[in-house]
Amino acid sequence: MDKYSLTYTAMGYPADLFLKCKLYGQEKKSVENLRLSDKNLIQFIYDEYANDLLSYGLKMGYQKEVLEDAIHDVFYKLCLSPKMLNNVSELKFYLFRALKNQLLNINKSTSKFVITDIPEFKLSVKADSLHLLIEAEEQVRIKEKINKLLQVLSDKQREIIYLRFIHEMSYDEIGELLAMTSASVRNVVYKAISKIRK
Amino acid sequence: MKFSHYLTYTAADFSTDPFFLEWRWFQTEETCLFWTSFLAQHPEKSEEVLLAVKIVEMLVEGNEVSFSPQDKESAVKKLTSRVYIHKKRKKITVYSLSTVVVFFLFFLLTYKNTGVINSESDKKNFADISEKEVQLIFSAGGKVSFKEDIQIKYDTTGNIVVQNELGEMLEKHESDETHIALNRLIVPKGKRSSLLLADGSKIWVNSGTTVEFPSVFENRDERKIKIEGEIYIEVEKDTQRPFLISTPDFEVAVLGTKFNISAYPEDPVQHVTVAEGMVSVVSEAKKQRNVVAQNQQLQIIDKMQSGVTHVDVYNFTSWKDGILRFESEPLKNILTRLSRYYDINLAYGDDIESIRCSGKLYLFDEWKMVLDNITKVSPVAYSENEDEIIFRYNTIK
Repeated sequence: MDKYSLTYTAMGYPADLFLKCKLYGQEKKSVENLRLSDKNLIQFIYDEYANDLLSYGLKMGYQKEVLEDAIHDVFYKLCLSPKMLNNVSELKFYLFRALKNQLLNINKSTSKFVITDIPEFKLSVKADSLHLLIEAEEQVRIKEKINKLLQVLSDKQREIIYLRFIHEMSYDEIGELLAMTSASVRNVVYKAISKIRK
Repeated sequence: MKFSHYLTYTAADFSTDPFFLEWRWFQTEETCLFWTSFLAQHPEKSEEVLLAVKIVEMLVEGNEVSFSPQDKESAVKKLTSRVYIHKKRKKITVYSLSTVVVFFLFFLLTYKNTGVINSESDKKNFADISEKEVQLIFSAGGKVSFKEDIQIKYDTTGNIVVQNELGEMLEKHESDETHIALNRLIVPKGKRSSLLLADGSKIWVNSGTTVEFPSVFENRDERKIKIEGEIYIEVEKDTQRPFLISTPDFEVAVLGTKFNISAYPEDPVQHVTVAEGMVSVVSEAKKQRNVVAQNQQLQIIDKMQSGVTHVDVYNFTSWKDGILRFESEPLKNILTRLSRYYDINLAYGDDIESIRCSGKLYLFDEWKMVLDNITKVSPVAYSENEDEIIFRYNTIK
């Protein structure tokens, strides 16, 4: 972390928001001037994270229309009270958690939306652009093998891979999202590991 | 697992090896340690390993669906216009509120002239108005007040910067020559503030709290502050100088940790909850001492320390994020916290005494919405009269 991002975190803004802002060219403005009501900044954060949020919601079994509204509400609340970001170290984690809570609220207020059968938590295995790295035969073999390993795992275990591997969250953060302690997340992971090794 | 086992592996072999995938997918300590030392000892394999890392990354994908750029653009447009409307509406309510206040004052003045109002309640009213603002009082005698929630920062030489939540500068203060100066921060009900001390420690100050602290920690062997109310503090580590926090009923000593102290004199139960590290708590009255470690809480009931228990720390520190999370918490405690947070008068009948709740309340919502949410999840109803809101048990649901 350089000195700007330290100032940012000291001010209570998430470190990854700072990094993103830097990419976006905001670092030239003074740190104090960062405002979430800035339309360009909202656009930028939205562009960065909306797809991740949508995919995560779909994986949890919600419909696209419901998710669009929920994501909208998450961003709306964030714009109204940016102080919510105080002491959040990862913006992405904050947004995931906010979306999950928002979806639970929707479930509570309109009992129509209660999900009865939660779909399988799928992780897709693609091989589209791999040909640049390895040969076609190899590619098929690897794809099948990884797919098999993923199939052995439970939904929860795949969800943890999704959060840990694809979204790079800490075990504490994953625990909070899944309403588990980080110790029990680790337990689930160890069970997954012993399944994979067999 | 032995290193030699992997010496003949190609990228394709690595990318389907269970132990390799464990490392990529779960990043456990064991696997991280193994693979980093493997790479360190066998640099000749690094090319194959890195290729395998890339393969796994490209193969296992997270996002199968995405918004189109047009979708995103129109969503952001909708969002900004909604935020704009909200802000405008807020202004209008403020205007109409101030009209009401003017009328009320007019009424009060005419009423007073008839001599009906008694002077005591009159005085109390005025005291209340001045207590609606966050105040920073300097030892030299100066005082500044703020209408909004503020962030205060002291640098190592005692210079002060005060900002609002948007980071706009509100006040700047050069340090005066008397360094040992004790300052006092008063955060009334309905307000919150944060405070960065000269040693780098950061304090979140909850509603209805007073903090006394020096501009600079001059003393070579300790750092000392006083509080009454509730704070969450991240103490900057300094093994030479322990950090001491005293409340009317007990004292907490630490080296460098993160923890929450709730010490409202009017609360029957006060507590110290540790998020990181370790603290020791001493109460003067009975010469009791307890050590509280990470994820533990010590309750102080009627100046007596009761045992240390394991808790979910976030239930006690969530207020600093604008959230109130609780687990099987007596409803009356939640009401006490809300009445401080929003500065509203909440009363309750004896019949709700035994009700406990679990859940989460968003404190950035308006108080009415929060109270309505409570009535949705527990068997209570509330009614408003002119100066308080009363909660009662309600069986009809």
